[in-house]
Order: sequence, then structure tokens, then C-alpha cells
Amino acid sequence: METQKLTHTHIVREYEHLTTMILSIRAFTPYSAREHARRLVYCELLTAGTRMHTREQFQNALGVLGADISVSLDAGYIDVIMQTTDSTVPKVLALIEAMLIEPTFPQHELKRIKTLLTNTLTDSKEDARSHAYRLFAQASFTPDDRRAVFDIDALITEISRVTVSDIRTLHAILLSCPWHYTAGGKSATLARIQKKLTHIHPRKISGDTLWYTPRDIQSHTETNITLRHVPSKQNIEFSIGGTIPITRTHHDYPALLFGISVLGLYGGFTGRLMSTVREKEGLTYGIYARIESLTSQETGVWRIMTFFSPRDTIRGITSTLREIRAIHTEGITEAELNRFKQILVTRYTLIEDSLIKKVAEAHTRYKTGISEDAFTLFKRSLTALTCEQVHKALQTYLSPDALIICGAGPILTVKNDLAKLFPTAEVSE
Amino acid sequence: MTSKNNPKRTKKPVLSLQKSVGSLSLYTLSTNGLQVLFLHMPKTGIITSNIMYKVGSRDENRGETGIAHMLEHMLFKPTKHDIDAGIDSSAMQFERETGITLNANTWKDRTCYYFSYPKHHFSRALRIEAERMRDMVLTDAEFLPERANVLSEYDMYAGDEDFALSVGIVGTALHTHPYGHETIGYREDIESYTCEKLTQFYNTYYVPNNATLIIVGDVSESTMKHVVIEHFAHLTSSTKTISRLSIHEPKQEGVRTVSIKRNSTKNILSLAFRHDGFPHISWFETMTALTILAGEEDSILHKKLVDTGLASAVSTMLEPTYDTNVGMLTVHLTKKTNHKKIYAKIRKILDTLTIADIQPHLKKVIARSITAEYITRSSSLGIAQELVEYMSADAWEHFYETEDILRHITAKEILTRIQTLFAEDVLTIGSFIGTNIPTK
Repeated sequence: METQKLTHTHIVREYEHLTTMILSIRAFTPYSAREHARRLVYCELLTAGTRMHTREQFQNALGVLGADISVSLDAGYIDVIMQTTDSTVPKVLALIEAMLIEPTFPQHELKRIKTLLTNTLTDSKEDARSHAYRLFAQASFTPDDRRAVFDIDALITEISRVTVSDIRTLHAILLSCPWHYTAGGKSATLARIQKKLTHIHPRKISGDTLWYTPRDIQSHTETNITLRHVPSKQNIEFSIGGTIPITRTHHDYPALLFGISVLGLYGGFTGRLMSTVREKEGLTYGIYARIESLTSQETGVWRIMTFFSPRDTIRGITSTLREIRAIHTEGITEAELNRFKQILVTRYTLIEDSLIKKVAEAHTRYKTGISEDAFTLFKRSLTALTCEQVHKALQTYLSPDALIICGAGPILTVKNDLAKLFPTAEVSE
Repeated sequence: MTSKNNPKRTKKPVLSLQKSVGSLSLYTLSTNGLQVLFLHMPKTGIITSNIMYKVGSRDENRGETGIAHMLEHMLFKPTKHDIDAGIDSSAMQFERETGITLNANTWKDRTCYYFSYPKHHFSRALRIEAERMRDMVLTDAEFLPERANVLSEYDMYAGDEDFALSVGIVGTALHTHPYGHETIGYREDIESYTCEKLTQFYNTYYVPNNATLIIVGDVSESTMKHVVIEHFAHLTSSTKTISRLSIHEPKQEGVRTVSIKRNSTKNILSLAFRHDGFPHISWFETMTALTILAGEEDSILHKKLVDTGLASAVSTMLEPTYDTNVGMLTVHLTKKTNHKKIYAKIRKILDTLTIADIQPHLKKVIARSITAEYITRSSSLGIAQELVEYMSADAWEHFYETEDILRHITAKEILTRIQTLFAEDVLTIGSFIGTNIPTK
């Protein structure tokens, strides 16, 4: 439960010409397709006019500064992201203030945004990767979870129902929620940002912000398979994984993270899945695994993301399941333990190359509820892990017999083969 | 070819400075002509090294499209040195032991390979690049699974409606220039590669006098020179002339059209035009013109097509290529319209544009382009990748000129540019026709 109204993390780089900031408004509420739709509209409408500016005037004022402000939705957070050059920060902050304090939410802009969102969502019906993830998320999160993902048609229907009054109500709630920002740039500029945001944010947090209790992940005792036919695609996209019934503060978390990294560290070619399924067997261009949606207060999931051509789908799935079972049963080797300790240290070091990456990493840490000190301890704990600890965590939390397997693409072309592998699979069109 | 004990070599190798512009310096290695482009970024603790070979999809023969890209994949396999040492690919091992960033990409005019790493790995990174420049070993055992991965990559792109349309368009817009096929190549060609074909391609282009090593990061000039000489000086240059065809696409005399039909719910219209090479001033004018037309939420076509519900998205494509190439303006249609109507609408908008329409957008687009460049150039990885494009265009000296070029572009020049690019007789119009469009 947050008690401070405005918190921040500063990344000081005196030689930078850039200033970047992510401001997150933590507005966790019981969730639904309706709430998600309201927030999608809100994110667009917030930059669509202030008491002093029409949308066009606002965009022009921002544009001539070479600045960018975007507003987006991230699992219950409203994120305001600013990227600009150091010299323009005072003027950009004035625009952010106008946007947050005096938005007008004009009716004609609401109409425009509804059209725009509806058309964008309709287009996304061809996105097989998103479908696979949506099916996976729906098998993992309850519909009232802030991390829930909804059907496209349900969202389109709810978007059509959003009113200006809905948006104004949401805006009032957001102003009384806890805010946190992470900013990077020169120290004097960061001080200016802090002063401005302290001025903008209300003095008290409303009790309304404390209504949300973390939702548990839906548990599965056996493997659950859901498939969706998207005929226009050449590959079948998969999300394969399972639920993790612990939070990030649990003592098993570092060992589990380590084990999932050995299985399929995101990015690059280091994970076992990239070594075997891609390199040795030539079954896919990319295959990664990672832990998602886990915070200091909420349980989450682990997920493998990959794709196979229809002719390689059965072999690809079989190989992937084989690797899951192998790491579950046998754990990791001493050589892998030592290698991945070094790999994870280097990954954290390389973030220093880019201010934008550094800010994003620090902000993600905030969202997962981990303080800088706790993060330092966490990194240290990774280097002290043993093979036994990693194996125990994998055996406890990564169950090869209770997987969530979701696929989307030209499923009907391999329907019969898939039915042999997964007799209980559900296929939707 | 790669012996370090060549008795004929008597002169001490020298990495000599050719020219400096701003903080950038270009050197040449006396023994083999390797070029080194260096930018010192102190105190970050990080270095990016990016080696660029002047070979890309434009250098491929018919029936061998995509071979430059296929070869790029094979440079992550064990070299002769690795096999002799009984180890896995040094490049992959570098990543798998240390967690450094590694990757590569192939484009029309060039192929590049990069590592980004904590500075104490500098020597190791350069040793690996030197080894794989001349010592790649191609066997079916390594090649066949990797070809399957490339086919998987091909299918990933080919499943995308925009990509499918783009393949059709560039092939229609360019009749003779080798930019007329995508870098990934055609599936049928990928399936027919052999190790022999790849080896021939490798031996022709992967030589020091066809490469530039770009080094950006926290390493002093003296250390950089020492390590470059240590790892690259013994490599011998090619004795053959590395030729590149100079092809001028014949004049287009009339609109060309192409259509792709697929079981999809999407309808897409693309207008393809020819633009000058990078980094001519006209290339930057084209970039600015496209951004004004369709690059941002407040762009002209976004307002007239997306905000009105006729399109779900508008976008543009412009590549930094050496020669004249094809760029595109693409519109995703909604159910409210069709290809014919949307083209008529765009045609009218383009034909009636005035300087007054462009003026309000110009300052914004230029300011945002300059900020975007600051963002790209805020990391060693980003700087090195951008330098690849300048080096590929034989124009690294112009690296610092972008801001000045952009600030001098006028609304009149943009209007003229749009009128030239989108004149109907020089357009190629592509239609992606979804055959699974819901009626309601």
C-alpha cells in the first residue's frame, strides 16, 4: 500500500543533451473490459485539448519544441512518457501541467478517438502473436485483475459506450492516486521536473486509491490448450508457460528467475531453447522465455514466446516441451550456473550505455515494487545461487504437466496433427 | 591466407589517420586496406564495435536472392580457429559466456555485425571479428538447420500483409536495379542455396579491403590502434577487384500497378515512388515531406484519413540506400472505403497541397527529427548503427551535417518534392486485397 503521494527516481547524467521521463499514475481498480476501454480512450483524450489549447494547438506547441509526450496504459498504470532535449524541458513541463490540470476532454475529440481506436483494434485481428498472448493471459488472469487482457470485440463494444462523464470521473481518480516518476538527464533539469510535478500533484491521496487487492493467478492442475485460426499468417505463434504462485519478494524468486533465464533468456542467443530448438534443430527463428507480471505483491506467470511454420509445428512444440521437462527434471548444470551469473551481471552493466534504457529499467523496478537497495541485494543473491537451489525452484514452480499452451495462426492446416498431440485442444476461428 | 608468420611481411603495420571530422576519425590499416572509423566516448565503460562489409542484397544474382543475408547467419557458426580449438562458435561463445550484446543485419548495400560489451572485452571482440572475416567454415551440418531458421524468418515476414505488398511493389517499380527484391530474398531461392554458392560469395566480399570497422565507446585511441593492428594486420586483402554493378533504373513512363490477394481481413493501398540516395539533401527533403504527409498523428493524411475513419493507419517507408530506391506511402483502409476511392482522395489531397498547408508542419517535423537524432545518438550502439549507414553510402564525413541540412529545408522545397515524388506517371500503386473482409 502506497503512502507517499509523489515519489521519484533520478538518473543524473550531466553530459546528456536529452531528458527523458516516465511518470506512472498508479490507479489500480477492480478491472473489466469496460474499465480497460475507458482507460484506452482516456490515454488518447488526455492530449486532445486543454483549457488553453485545442488538440492542434497542443500538438503544435509540443512539436516546435521537438518534444514528444505520449500517454499509454500498462496494467493499471497510466504512463506519461516525455522525451525531449534539455533546453526545452521548462516549456514541455508547462504543457504537461496544462494537460494534467486543465484537460477539456471535448466531445468531438471523444468521437474521433472512438473511431480511431475501433479501427486500430479491428486491424489487430490479424495479429497472431497478440492473439496467442491474449489467449494465454485469459487463461492466467481473472477478468477483474489489473493485468487482464480482453477480447477485441468486447473492447470495441465498450469503447462505443464511453462518455465524457466516464472520462472526467476517471481523471478525478487519477489525480488523487499515487504518482511515481523516473527521469534522466542533467541534475538541474531533474530538479526542475521534481519542482513542477510536486506543484502539480495534489497534496492528499484519496482513500479511493486503496480499494484494490492483488488478484491471484488462475491455477491449473493440468495442461490447458487453446488455439485460434488466423488464415492470413504463414507461421503459428505460440505462448507457452504456466503460473507462478509466489511474489518477487519470495525467497525462491531469484532461483526461479535464474532457471527461466537458463531456459530462454530474453534477447540474444544464450538460452537453452535458442541453442536447441533454433540452432541445432532449425525449427524457429526465435524462442525466448521470461517471467512476467510478478511484483512484490502479486503472483505472475512464466512464458515462452515462439513461432513455427505449420510443417514444423509438431516438431517445434515437441522440442519445446522436451526442454521444459528436461530443465524441470534435471535442473541446470554447474557450467550453466557459472555462465549465467556472468551473463546477468553483464546485462545489467550494458544498460548504462543508454539513458533511455537506464530510465526504463529503473522505472520497471518501481512498478515491480522493488527498492533500489532490495534490487542490489537481489543482484547479489543471484551470484550466490547454487544448482540445487535453482533446480528446487524449477521443480516446485515450473510444472511440465500443468502448462498453458496458446497458439494462433493457420491452425486449421495442421488441425489433425495437433489433435493427435493435444486431443483436448480448443480451436476458435 | 591468415598466417601471422608471413616471412614476406617486413614493414611494421600502421593504422594511419586519413581524416577527422568532429569527434570522428577514419584510419586505414597499411597491410590490407581495412578502414577503421573511431569515436571515443569516455567514462561509459561500454564499447560497441560494428564491422560493415560493403555487400548486400544488391550484389546478389538472380536465383540467389537473399544469399547475403543467409551468409550473415553463417558467420555465427564455428570458424576454422574454433574447430581447431575444439570449441563452439567464438562469436556465440562470447555472448554465452559473458552476456554481451551481439547481432548482425543485412541490407541493400551492406552487411554489418556488432558486439556491445564492457570495455575489458575489447580485444576479444576484435579477435572474433578478425577470425570470422577470413576463416568461416561452411558445412551442411551447420548450414541446413540455419537455412531452416532463415526460412522461418522469411515466413515471419511473409505472413505480414504490408511486407507481402512491399515485395510485389519493389519488384514492379524497379525493373533492372537489384534493389527490386527484398533483402530476405524469395523462398524459392533460399531453398536452393548450397554451401558452394555461399563460400564463393564469402570469398569475394569478406576481405579487409571491403570492410570498415566502426568502434564507438570507452577506449583510448592508442589502445584502439594497438588492438586493431594485433588482430587485423595479418589478414591479406583481396587481389581481385571487388566490383559492384552500377545500374541506373530506366525512366518510368506511366503508372504501374500490382495487387496481392490473400485470405485476410485487411485492405491496404501503397503508393511507391523513387527517391534519391542517402544522404543527399533531397533524401532529407523526402524524409521531411513524408513525415509531414503521414509520419505523425497531426500529419496531413492522418488528419484527413485516419481521424475521419477512412483509414486505420497511414505510414511511410524510406530507406537510406546508396542509389535511387523506392519509398512508400501506405494506407490501411477501413470498411468505409475501397482502394479506388481512397486513391482518388489521396490524389486530390496531394494535387491541391499548397505551401500554406505545409508551413505549419515544417518547423515541428524538423524539430522532432533533430530530437530523434539525439535519441539515436545517445548510446554507442545507436551511434555505431547510424555510422554504418553513412559509411555504406561513402559519406561518413557528413555525419554531423543532418541538423544543418534539416534546418535549411523550406516549405517550397517540400511542396516541389511532394509534387515530384507523387507525380502519377512515376508512381507504382500497390493494392493488398483481403478476401476475408467482414460485411458488417
